[in-house]
Amino acid sequence: MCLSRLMPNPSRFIAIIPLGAILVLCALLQIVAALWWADEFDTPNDATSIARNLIQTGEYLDYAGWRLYGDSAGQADAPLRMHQLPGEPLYLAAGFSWLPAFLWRFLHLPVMLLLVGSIMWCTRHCFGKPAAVAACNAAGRSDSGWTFMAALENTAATAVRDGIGHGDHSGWLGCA
Amino acid sequence: MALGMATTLGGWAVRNHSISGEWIFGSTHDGIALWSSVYPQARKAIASGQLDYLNSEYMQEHWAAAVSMSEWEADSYFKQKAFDHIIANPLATARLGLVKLGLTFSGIDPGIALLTPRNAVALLTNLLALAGVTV
Repeated sequence: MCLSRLMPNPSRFIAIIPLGAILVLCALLQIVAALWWADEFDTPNDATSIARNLIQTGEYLDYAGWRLYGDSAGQADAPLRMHQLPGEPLYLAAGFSWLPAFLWRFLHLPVMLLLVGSIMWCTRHCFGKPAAVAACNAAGRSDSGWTFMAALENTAATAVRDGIGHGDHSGWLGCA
Repeated sequence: MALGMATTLGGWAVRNHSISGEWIFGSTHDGIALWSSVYPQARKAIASGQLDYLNSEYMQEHWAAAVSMSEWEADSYFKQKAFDHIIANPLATARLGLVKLGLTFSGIDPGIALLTPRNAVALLTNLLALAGVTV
């Protein structure tokens, strides 16, 4: 029997969903995940540690030399100064400096919504609505953002050990 | 858009030039990221669910070569190694790229069991997409 006879028609389903609703669902998933599903987060890249260094020392430093030099090399202990583009570290540093700790876990929410919204908008205008939903989902599976199902799938998996700052559980939802 | 890119990347490049003497518009992570994405151990890394993983044992030779280099030189070293590898192994690199592309769009994590919640959701969404295509 044809598979499509057994399954609901997703095209019809997608046709009646406003893309804005997907964006809202995406935001809700992110908020729920940040509030209840994990309590300590860090970015998979070094943006968080660079932001910390920036706040503490005023210098843009990254202590991730092991990737270039290995663990046993002396160079690995030296800070790197151009190892990551500055957008995310500066954004995080601004957030850590100016926002209360309980909001840090939501720092990536506006970035994620902007990313998902932009992808959906562009894809819809180029290829139509079903493609926009698919692109939104695919984007969420990449390293560049979380959305839709990916928020469900990835949130727990990317929780890491170190909370930010004050020794409490004020982790935040990190995505690189 | 061009002006925005020029302003942001230009500012970053000026800052990098002031501390290193080199005009770096990207980052010194680019080389090692490209290398770890295509190097001979990259396929094994995918099997463990990683897209960007450095095998310590395999990397010893390269880390030893890079140890006396500056941050910029080490980045250039790994970038060159990556391009050399791609040129020497174009088909294997293309196959690797296709596998990564497929994994990205399928959402399946090969590092965990297929019936874990994450992969089950991915399978379900892929099944729905397949049904949508065949309707």
